[in-house]
Amino acid sequence: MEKPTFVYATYIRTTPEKLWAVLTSGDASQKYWMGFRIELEQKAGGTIHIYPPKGSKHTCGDHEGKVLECEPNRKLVYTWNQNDSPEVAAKRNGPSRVTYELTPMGNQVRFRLIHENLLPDDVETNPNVQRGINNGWPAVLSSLKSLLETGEAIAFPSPS
Amino acid sequence: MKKEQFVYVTYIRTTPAKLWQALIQPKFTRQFWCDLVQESDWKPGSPWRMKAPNDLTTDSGEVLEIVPRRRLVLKWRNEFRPQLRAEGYSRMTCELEKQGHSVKLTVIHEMPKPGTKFLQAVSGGWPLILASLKSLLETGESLVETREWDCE
Repeated sequence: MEKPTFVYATYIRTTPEKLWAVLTSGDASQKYWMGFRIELEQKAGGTIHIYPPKGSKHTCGDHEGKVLECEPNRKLVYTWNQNDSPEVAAKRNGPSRVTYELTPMGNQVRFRLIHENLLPDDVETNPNVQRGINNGWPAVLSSLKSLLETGEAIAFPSPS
Repeated sequence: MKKEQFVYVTYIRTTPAKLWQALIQPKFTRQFWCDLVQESDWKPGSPWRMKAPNDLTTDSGEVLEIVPRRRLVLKWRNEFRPQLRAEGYSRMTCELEKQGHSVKLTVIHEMPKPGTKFLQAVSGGWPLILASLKSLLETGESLVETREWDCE
């Protein structure tokens, strides 16, 4: 069966240290990740939680996973357990896996995200909705870039 | 054969009018698009080309659809790398959609057949160009790496 992978790259005028700090901070993630709070143990074998904002209507959130690799300022790999419906869960062959790669380039950092071992169900083909891995990550990572370069994340309209 | 697509989405804190201007006007594209400028009268069916500072035509094609501040579709072929030029025309769609205080920009670049060097090249290039465009519109400064033409 097809196992889609989602890859996204962006370039941020910052340092790897500042980018890492924002990627791994719960307070920062609440700003750039639509209110979601990340809590992470920075070591291989540690746990990662991504909590949805209090009182939110999001049903896609509340992810829990395991840190597979952690090299501060360079690379983070973690597993991502989805809150699937039983029909979707039956199709999954283990959790999906997220990799962050930070590469310094002059006075900017290339940030690459790789989300692997997905299901076709995770990818939304209608570009006009917010659901789907392929619609979610670009919004979150655009907001992350704005936060680091301007001090302000992107304020997305609330999902109706 | 199945077509192959590169899709990139970014959100920029700006207005559709300012983003449209930045995508079209030479004084903006020079800053975030490696000192390149486009030449076209921007009407459906009109020729389109991209030009480096030494007057080299880097890419050329035709305006297929244009709705100012909303949508641009170009027929697009690389002109300065023979191997890419030989792969023929691609289709590039740019869509702008206002969302709150930001604009969702979607770039879709497609080739009629899979496995082309052209699509591989643009897949590497677009993320840097669009990141620099976002920096320019949000901070007034593009990314240093995209200010000069150095691809010859």
